[in-house]
Amino acid sequence: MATTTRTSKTRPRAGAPKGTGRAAAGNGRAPLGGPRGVAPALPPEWRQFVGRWLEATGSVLSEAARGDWEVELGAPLQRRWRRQRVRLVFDPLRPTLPRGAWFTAPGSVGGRKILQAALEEPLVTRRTALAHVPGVGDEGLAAICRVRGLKWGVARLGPVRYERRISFHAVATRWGGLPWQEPWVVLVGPEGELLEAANAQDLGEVRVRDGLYQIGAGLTSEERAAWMGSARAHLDRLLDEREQEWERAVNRLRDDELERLGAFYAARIEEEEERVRRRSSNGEEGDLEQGDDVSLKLEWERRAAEVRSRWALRTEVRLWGLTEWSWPVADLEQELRAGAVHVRLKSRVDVARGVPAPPACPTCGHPAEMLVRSRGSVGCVKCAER
Amino acid sequence: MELSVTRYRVGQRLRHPQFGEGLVVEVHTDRGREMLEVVFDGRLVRLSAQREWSTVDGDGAVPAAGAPEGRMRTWHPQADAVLERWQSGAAAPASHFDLRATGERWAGWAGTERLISLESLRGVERFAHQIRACEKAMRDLNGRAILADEVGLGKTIEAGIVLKEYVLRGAVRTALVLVPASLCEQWRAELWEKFELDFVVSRGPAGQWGRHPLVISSLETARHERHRRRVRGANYDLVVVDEAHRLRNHLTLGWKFINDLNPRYLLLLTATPVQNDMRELYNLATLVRPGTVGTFSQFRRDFLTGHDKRTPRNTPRLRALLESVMIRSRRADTDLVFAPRKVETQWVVQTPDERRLYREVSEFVAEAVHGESGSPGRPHYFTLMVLQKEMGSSWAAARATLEKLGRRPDGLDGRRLRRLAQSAAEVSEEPSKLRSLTRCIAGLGGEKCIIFTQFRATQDSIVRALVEAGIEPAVFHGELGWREKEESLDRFRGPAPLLVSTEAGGEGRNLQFCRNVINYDLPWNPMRVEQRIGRVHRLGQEHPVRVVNLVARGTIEAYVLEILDRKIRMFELVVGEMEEILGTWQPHGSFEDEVFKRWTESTNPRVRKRRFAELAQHLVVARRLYQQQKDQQEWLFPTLGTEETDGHDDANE
Repeated sequence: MATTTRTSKTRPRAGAPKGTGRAAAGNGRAPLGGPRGVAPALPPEWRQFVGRWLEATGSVLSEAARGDWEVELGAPLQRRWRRQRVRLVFDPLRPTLPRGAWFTAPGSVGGRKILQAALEEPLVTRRTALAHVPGVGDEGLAAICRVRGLKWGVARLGPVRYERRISFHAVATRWGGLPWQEPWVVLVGPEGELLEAANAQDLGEVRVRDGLYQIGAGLTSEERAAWMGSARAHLDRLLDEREQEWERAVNRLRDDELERLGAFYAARIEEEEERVRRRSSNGEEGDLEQGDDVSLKLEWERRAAEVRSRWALRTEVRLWGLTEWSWPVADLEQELRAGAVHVRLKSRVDVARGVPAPPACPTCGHPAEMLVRSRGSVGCVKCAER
Repeated sequence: MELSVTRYRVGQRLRHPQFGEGLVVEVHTDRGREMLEVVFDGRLVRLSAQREWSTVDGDGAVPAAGAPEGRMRTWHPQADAVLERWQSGAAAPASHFDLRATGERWAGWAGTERLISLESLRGVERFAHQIRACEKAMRDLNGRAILADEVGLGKTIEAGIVLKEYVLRGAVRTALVLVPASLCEQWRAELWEKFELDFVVSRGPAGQWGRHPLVISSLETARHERHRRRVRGANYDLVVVDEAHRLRNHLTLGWKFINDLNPRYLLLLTATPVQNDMRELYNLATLVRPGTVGTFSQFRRDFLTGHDKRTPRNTPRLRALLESVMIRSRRADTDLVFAPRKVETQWVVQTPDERRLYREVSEFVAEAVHGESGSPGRPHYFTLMVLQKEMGSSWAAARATLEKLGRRPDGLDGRRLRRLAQSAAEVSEEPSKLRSLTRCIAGLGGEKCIIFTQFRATQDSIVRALVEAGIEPAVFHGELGWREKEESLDRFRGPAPLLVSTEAGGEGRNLQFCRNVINYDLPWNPMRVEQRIGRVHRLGQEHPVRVVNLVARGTIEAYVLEILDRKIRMFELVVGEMEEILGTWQPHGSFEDEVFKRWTESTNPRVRKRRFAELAQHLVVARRLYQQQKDQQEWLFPTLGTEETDGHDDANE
């Protein structure tokens, strides 16, 4: 099966400012001078998220003055925050807050409390990926495998069946230089094989519904542990690749910095030794501004250690959830013809996306993106070259 | 096996079975034997170069790319919790899962291309030059930088954004902000109100070092012998030094302290990295990134000419080197334009009784200050200074203080005080200043206006007079609760044409919808005057700002105004420049003290005029010096957004 990697989804962008108060709105006149600063406004999606999450926890929201929310907290949140209600302020231009109110932005104290609570519990869910109609296009394998000197016959799609797949959702945080974070989702197949990996919170482009369709038997605890082990191994491998990329990018910066430090301290130590030699030869008193060579050497080591620790790579992987999928798949058969040569190729179709996997090369058995006729048989480009 | 000494190089790292990993800092020959000097975790050890020591890596720097031992990866315990939950058979509805995924999106950050802290700032407008500066400080300079923006462009905000960004990304857990002692509280308030960073001010013999993760302190306190070790022991991830020009001299305890502290991230905030000597620039650059401009001998050889300490040569190269330690935004690069200011002085014509009383109380204050000049603690000094200020504000304010002192003279002339209080009560019935104010308001043509005063008693008398004149003003002062303050400002935004405000608690308020300011009384501290005007005259003000100062001739305020307005043209300066000029002058004590001292020490108007002229001269020199520094920095320092060199380079080769 093919492994695909997609780029990350962008975070919701700020839309029209909402609830930013009169001051933010201005008076509609054009500014006198050059551009003014960007009046801060929180993205409306953030407010939406906070509202949905609070309601999901049993809290009751009511509108208050100036676009604020008065929240009657649900029981678990009352226990957690030791208060019955809280006023949430979303206006970044408000200079003072009502007593006990929280300014609620993604990085504010209030916002972080909410996010901390929202992200505390791991989540497991069960879903069915809905079949794409048609299961595969009329062209069949022709859509993903080009041919030269050959002609595709009619694609025959077998019955759709459902197999269990598991997607694991994680966030990797890398410290070293300027820390950064990336979400990962990996989709693992029944044999523990990696089917998909993406830098995103969840798998996109799939229509879903709750529950596992046509998958009866549950998993044993050993099977679950094995599945989890495979997922961790796949994530480890993916992160290894990322870390190598990262190291290649920062090694030069770190070496430059250490080299500069080395040149500086070596020169200073040399100057200092020269100064001491001259002083001892003409009996001058020491100069207060110079450190002795030993302290310079110790300082050098301290600073070099600091540079190394600043660039030292440390990664933390937080696996926060998994989805057990019932995933529609089907077999596909399609004939490839060239004169008297008839080759029947088989493939598997991801019916949720309506995409077949590349067929195996009839000669070498590897997934082929292009097939050609060569010396009376059919093979991939590599086989033809051989 | 015969080993050559060239096998080991300075800068290489060795592994020793007993001491662990160490840095080779010297390779030399001692009595015919090749020796290595290696530092192992703060300990200098001499080793024979004849022995074969294992090197940590080939070039003495870092593990080779892809070497797994150079990295550390941990799995958060949530992974086990996921498995547990899965094993237990519990499953959440898909909608919960989607909500959680959205939450993860909000809590996380994709990469370094976006500052995640910007969304969480409160009451902070974002300007492109500030965001550029923060991005450069973090991405290119790795959090070690001199933030040397021109005054008024928001270095404090930039430092706050960098700090918040590092905190949110988990790169900074402990931070130390070193500021002048007088600014500790202001920084604490600002970091909380704008960035929600909960700093504590470290005071007292114990301090807060290591007890609280985010600490503000004065440099003097932190570097004090009593605290120094504990500050170092707290191992701060990030240190911010405001007014970092105090670290220009490498012989000072301050410089040595910061050099010794060597935090992972270091931000030095100063608009004037160089004053008199290029060595000052060298010292700051070395503090941030040692070796950027070489050793001082190399710096002198490469960038200075003979004994001229002020003028550098090879400026394009120096500027290129400075780019790796300094970030400077100039006003000219930012396209920010302030609305023009129009400043008027409205002379208040005092009645003969008011003039006489002002003279009598001033004489009393001067005598009392001199009378207690030898006594320990000078118990009435502050009260007398306030009394002098109150006279410049209103007789209602002065009267209250006179009466209070009259009731408990505590060594002062009680009878004289009571007589003066009686006279103040009489003249405060119909003060001439209020008449001037009402005339001034009538001239505004109904436009909104803020009337500033320093005293609550004066504020009350103004409000009474306005109400009697049929005007209902909004009132703002520090004793109001937050709700009352908001309501008051709402009223001013709405129907109320006037806001009568004290200075307390109003900083950071967005009052740009108003363009008129009346200084009913004039603070002696120019920074206070600047703060008042700054409430309406800030980026975003769309109309010319009008400032009216109500002052009576012959008063201390008239002298202050003469200096600020006519001599150093303070009202033409941009926000923050006055602070720099006062910093350049560096008087003993505050500007207010200096003004009060000169006033009380002058025996007659002629002497007073001379003494204030001297003060003005000091400030004129300070302003000139500031201008010179500014011009020098203009062509020497690299700036954000202007990569190309200008004509000055050739001229200085």
